Amino acid sequence: MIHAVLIFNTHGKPRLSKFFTPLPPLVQQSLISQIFSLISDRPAGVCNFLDAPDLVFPTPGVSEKGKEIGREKERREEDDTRVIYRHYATLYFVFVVDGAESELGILDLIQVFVESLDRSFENVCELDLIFHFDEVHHVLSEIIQGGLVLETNINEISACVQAASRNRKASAASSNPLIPSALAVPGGRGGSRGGSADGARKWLAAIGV
Amino acid sequence: MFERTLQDLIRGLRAHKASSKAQEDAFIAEAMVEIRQELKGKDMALKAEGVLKICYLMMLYPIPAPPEFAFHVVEVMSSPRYHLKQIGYLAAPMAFSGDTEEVVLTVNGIKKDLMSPHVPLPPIPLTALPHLLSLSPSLSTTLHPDLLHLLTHSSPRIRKRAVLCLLPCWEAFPEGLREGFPRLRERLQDSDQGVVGATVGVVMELARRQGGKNYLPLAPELFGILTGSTNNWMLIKVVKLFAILTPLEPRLVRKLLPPITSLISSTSAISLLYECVRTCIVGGMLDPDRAEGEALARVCVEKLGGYLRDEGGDQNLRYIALLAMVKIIPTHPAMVAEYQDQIMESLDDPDVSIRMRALELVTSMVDRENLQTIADQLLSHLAPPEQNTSALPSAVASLTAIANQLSPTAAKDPTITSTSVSLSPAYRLLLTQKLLSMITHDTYVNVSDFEWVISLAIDLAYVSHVDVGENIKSLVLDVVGRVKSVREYAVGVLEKVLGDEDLRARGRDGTGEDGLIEAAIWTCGEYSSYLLSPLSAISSILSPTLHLSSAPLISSSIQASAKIFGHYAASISSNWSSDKHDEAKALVSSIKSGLEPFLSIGDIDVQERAFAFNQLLSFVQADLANHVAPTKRISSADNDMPEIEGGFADSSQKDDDSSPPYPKSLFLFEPLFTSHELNAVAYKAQEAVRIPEGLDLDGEIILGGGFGAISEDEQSEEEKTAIDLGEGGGEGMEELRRVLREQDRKGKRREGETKEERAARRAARKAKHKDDPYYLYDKNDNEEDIDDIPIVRLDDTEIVVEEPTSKAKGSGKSKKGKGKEKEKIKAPPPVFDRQGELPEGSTSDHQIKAKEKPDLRRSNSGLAAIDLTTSGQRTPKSIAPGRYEEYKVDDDLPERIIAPKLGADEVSQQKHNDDLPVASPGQIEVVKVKRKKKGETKKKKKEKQIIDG
Repeated sequence: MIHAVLIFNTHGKPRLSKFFTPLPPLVQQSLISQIFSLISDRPAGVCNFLDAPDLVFPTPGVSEKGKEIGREKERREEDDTRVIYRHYATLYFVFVVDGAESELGILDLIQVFVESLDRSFENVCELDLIFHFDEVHHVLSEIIQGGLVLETNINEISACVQAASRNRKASAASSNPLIPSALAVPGGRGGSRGGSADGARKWLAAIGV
Repeated sequence: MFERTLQDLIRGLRAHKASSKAQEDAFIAEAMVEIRQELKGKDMALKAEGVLKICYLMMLYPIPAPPEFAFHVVEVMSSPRYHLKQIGYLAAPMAFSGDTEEVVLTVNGIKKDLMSPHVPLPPIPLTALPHLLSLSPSLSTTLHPDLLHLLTHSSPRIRKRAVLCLLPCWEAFPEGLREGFPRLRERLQDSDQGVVGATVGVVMELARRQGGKNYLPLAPELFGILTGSTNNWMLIKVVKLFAILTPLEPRLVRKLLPPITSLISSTSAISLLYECVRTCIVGGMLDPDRAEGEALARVCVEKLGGYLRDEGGDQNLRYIALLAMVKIIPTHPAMVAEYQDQIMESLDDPDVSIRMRALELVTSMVDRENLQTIADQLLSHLAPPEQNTSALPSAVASLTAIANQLSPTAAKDPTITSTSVSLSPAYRLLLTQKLLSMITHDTYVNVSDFEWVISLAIDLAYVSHVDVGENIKSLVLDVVGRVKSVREYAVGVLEKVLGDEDLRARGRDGTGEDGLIEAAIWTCGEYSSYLLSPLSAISSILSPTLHLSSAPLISSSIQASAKIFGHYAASISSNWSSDKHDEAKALVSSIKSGLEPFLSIGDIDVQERAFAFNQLLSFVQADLANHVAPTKRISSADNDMPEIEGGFADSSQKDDDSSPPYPKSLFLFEPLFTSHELNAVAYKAQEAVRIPEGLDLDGEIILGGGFGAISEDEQSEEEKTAIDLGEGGGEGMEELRRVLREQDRKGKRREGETKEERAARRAARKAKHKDDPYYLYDKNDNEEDIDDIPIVRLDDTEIVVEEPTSKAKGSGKSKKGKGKEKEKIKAPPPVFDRQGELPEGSTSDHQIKAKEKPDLRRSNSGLAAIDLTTSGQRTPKSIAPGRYEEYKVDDDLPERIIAPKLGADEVSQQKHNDDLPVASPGQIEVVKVKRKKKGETKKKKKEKQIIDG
């Protein structure tokens, strides 16, 4: 299964962190920074798999860290946790998975995730992810649920995403005028994106997605 | 009042990013205060916004959730509005931890949302549910029926989400699996591909957690997906799932081969192709017993080799090719060996991930022929660039080379990228450990030249720069202990190591060179007869900088120098002259001065050894001083050493008539160390010591704590007559047998005694020992007959364990094929003691029952305890798991699948049909266990009854 899906930028700032294995928040953050430092050391053009002997990822069922280190290690051997990542412009998309997942399949899945984001944001860039982190979660929830893959068909995924956002809109429109702008979905987003200059805008277009 | 939205918060954070840390912290603190207000307020929209902001902040910063955050989340979750509810469920996994009361509070809300007739609603709780279920077992129990209900929801989007929720639900509530399994099985036939895909994913996870046994019955459905589907993701999952199932049911292989080979040849997706190849390997389809196994293996290896060869192409493919090749090695090492060049190239790859995989692969492909090549190449990674060409096998050469250029060898040449990568400490450590384990693998089964091993160990210590000292030490000691022929060489090179002050200096930094030095010291001491120059060896062992080293190193140094001195002293006696006299005197005084600093050192072990050695040397010194070189008179021992003098008195008396021309104290040291040659001891030796007949280690020594009455055990003596002593096994065995027989006779002789005689004998003995404090007797007049305890003589002469050696030879030979006759002559398998010493009388193939290790991985999960092949209501009487004779030739597969729709009587009729022998033995469909089916039909009947009632 998929233990975690992470997005962080080239400076290590998390843009999305979703752990399907229950872990305390502090452990999550230390894992993110560990994985980031390992990945950012890797030069361009190397493979997308991270073999990290020193990365300890607590596997399911052993949420209390340090309680049974020995057993945890043993399980780790068997579970064969691995980190698979892709680098798009300023962002790293990282999946932490176990032996049940196909390495190349996960690479394809990352691509599916990115394309789905692209469809939902229209030329997605880092800023979109920053300001709409809830939307990113919604897209992810249409692809992966509880660490298992829900859907891999991009058309189906974006149809679900759109249906959900329509529902949100309808629900918000009928409520009082004090609508939190975060919930005013795709339309309200354009303005927030306009001004800022940082972040690679067309990073997805650049790699031909 | 102005409310800050999430967007505003993010803008604020970004604005403060450039400013100081303190300002940023202040901003966050201010925001947190606001959020707390919002959370406490009545406005649900504001509350939801607050929850969302907390989630964002918690992702970025290590801040704790505000108090009662979970309660606020529960409130938002229960909001009737879709967009607010979604925020609540989004935050729930972050807010809840453990089986807290908040989770309990949510139960009814979740139930209501799940059962909502409004179609967009159920996906929201389903999204968050896996996390919540894994937190709370009670939630799983409660929601299980609802989830099963949702499995038949009209919307496929809800069905597939519900399927995925079943996994965490059953994890927490294993009993649910029994009830839900048939329902899950139906989903494999779902009309919607997405639902089927999700179901396959769940089955895959279940099979991984439980072992595939329960899921073999699903094979027909899975097979249908494999042949019918075009969704690559699903095909990958199914193929991977079959990799788990086939080892359990070999007959599946025959069925699977056609579709998998057609996938391999037809698919354009490399990921699917790769998984097919991997399943062939892992699923045991390459079994050489099968006709097609060899050809399939050839195809697989060629595909993988193609990935590997693809220069400048996809690095990912090279990585996974290496990954899969590791799996193929055990069955087809020769095929992988064809790609050795590519694999070795991968070791030089700039990518550490690929290197590590290559390293693992290389480690497992080592055999007698390529060990040296591979090891030398690995070593060249560790060595600085200049070393690459002159690497080995001459340790001496590389020693001098290193001695010449020495010091910060690392990171000299950054232009060579591959070398600079190899210098990361974690990688170096791994590399070194793999290298060592490669050599020691299966007690040196691949080693043909032990001199090379010694020189490699020395090189490793010099170039590795990581803390593997202990490993190197045990390797060197093990080799010199086991391989007699290598000792001379080892002492030769290690003697040079001892003189390397620079190495010592590095060793003191704790980087692992100490291990080699310790091994060198011990080896030179133990096998001092091979030393070229004992004098210089002693002086380098007791080097002026020794006091800087660690205590264990010092104490072994002292011990070793004592051994060398002993050997030296004994050897100079043979051609004793006045020159030698002077030399010996000088040596003794120099050792004494070398020992000086350690007489007052803090470590107690070092101090004790230093004192003992020093005192003995004082005696020798005095003896030497009194000795007049060539005279015939024996120097009497020194006055102030009365004990030692006394000790020597008896032995010297014999020699009086032919007094040697040398001082006898020269022989003081040698016997201390040479009485028994040290050999490798088999690790089972202790267990193999036979418990003497009649000795019961578990029984109480004195029954009843010493107060009970003991009846005389006559039977044990009778049993003793029936010892089967066997025959053969060399001198040691003969000796043992003789001893045992003697005792047997003794025991029998005793039997002739009458009871009265024995009692009298005992009474007499008891009276004799009455006042002796060293004899303990019970108050009662009962005692064990001491003669009943057999005595096994422990002989400390060396036993030549013939068998192990010949076995080692044999295994060495068998490794080589018939066609490699030449090779065999060139490098005969070295004679070495693979097994180690065993005590007398124990056969070398003595089997100690290996304690079954408790199978942790399968037993710890609650889910693993569920065995679907045994239904809950029945007692598993005829069930032997793994007996697949119950599979039967079966053609009525489609009927079976629609079985749930049949009425009760039809089911029973079908059951009846199943029991009939099927005439046509056409294709064997691996369908399902018969007994399982009965259980299922029974359940169906039950369900039917419930519906009827």
